[in-house]
Amino acid sequence: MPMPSLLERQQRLAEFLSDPKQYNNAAEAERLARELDIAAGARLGAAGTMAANKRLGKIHAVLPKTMEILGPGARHVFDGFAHHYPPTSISRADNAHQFMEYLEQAEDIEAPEYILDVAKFEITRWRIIVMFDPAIMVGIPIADSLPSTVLVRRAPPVALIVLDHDVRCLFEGDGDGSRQEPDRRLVYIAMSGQGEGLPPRVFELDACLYDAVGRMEGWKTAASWSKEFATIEVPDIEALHSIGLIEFKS
Amino acid sequence: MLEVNIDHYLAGNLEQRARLEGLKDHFPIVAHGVGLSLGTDGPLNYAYIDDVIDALERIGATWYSEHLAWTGVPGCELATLLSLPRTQAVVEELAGKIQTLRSLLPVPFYLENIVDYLEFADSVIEPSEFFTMVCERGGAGILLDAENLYTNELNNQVAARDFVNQLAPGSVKAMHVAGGVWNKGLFVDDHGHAVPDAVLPIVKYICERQWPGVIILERDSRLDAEAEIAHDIHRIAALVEQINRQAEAQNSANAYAHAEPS
Repeated sequence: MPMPSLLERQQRLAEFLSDPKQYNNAAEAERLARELDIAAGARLGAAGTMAANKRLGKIHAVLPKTMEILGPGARHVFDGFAHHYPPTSISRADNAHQFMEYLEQAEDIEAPEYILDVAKFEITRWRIIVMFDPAIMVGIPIADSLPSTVLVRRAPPVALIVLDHDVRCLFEGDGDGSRQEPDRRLVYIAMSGQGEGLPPRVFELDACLYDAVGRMEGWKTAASWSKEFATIEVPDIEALHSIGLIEFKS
Repeated sequence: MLEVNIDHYLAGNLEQRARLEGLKDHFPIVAHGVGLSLGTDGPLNYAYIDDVIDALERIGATWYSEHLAWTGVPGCELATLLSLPRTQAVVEELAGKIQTLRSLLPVPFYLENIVDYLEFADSVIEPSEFFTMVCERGGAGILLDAENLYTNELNNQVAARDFVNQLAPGSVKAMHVAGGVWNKGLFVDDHGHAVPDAVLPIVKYICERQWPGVIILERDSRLDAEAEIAHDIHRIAALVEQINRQAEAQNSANAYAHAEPS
């Protein structure tokens, strides 16, 4: 049987080393070592473990609370994840996003039912920090009332998510040893970036406001937005500006 | 001097990038990468190289280094440095890629030796010869990692000093020193622990033969172990001072010998 090309060997190795079900199987490692002409097939397991540890570290960096809640079972969950989701990027966020997708789809994970919401919350927070750009925070200060010529839109460093549980309590009072159980209810969350290494600010909106902020992408006057969303008044827009969810320009 | 991981820069937000770009006002900057995967059997990743070139200019790097390794294939990125079969065909392929890469880069390119956790049975060239051939034919300077040499000596019985002896004098432009940890019978260069004592004699051996201009302490994790990091810096600095003193003494002795009437 002819030796596969280098690319074929690398593809087979990459598939093997990214899947715990394969690299943890000593017999499979020996078989692959023979197939790809690799000396010391036992090393394949160690190489797979090293690659997995790096990937797990990246996911942990983005989703620390998620991993903390998964507890000692996190490695088992990761192994199931890695079996189904090969790594496609070196990016921490991309790997964490894949892990979140796995939590969403897998049916046999031993974890609280709010685990997916925790992951969604954390990855949104991470993306806000990564996408934050001080240069685009160009909103102008408004003294008392909003001049009619001022244009309004959603501030760029804002993200919106809907959760099935109010997991915000899990991110408060870290370190005191207590953990409050999140309420099961629909929560409409907006996060806005602050820069300078600070975590994003987190706000709960009502459903109408959430919908409005989500749609405020282009520049329009406050009066136009108010007309478009019957439930939004100009003072609401001023309030949204005061918490950094929308920005103004004259 | 500070070495910036170019992949951290590329993954950073604008604020983080601005901070890294500002470092050049305080330190000489060099750039080190882990994302190029030169050894993947296929074309160079030109989109990635474009990003690297832009980043090199923004951070003001005076050189860019990468590894003699592959880290993934299209569709699967392991982000782990993996060995290649040491064959003539691979040498030619890599040398051609490095020449192309160098023609695009605005700064010199250095290639670093890795830890070989895998060994291909069809490897026919010795590790040091393979590394030297790729560097020479590709026109890359050498970034020699002393801890990787030490790790290969422990794990693969490849003598670090023999490896160093194969390198052309003056070809090592810079050196990496780092720490590692034992894991399941293998020594792993995790860049998160103290530099092993046994690495320092290898550093000395390299310095005495190559006189690299720069020694960089690599540290990626457990960055809060400040005392450990400071101790590593102190030990390396003391070693360099000792080497310089010995060299000066040797030079003086030589000058005296030459001046003495016969």
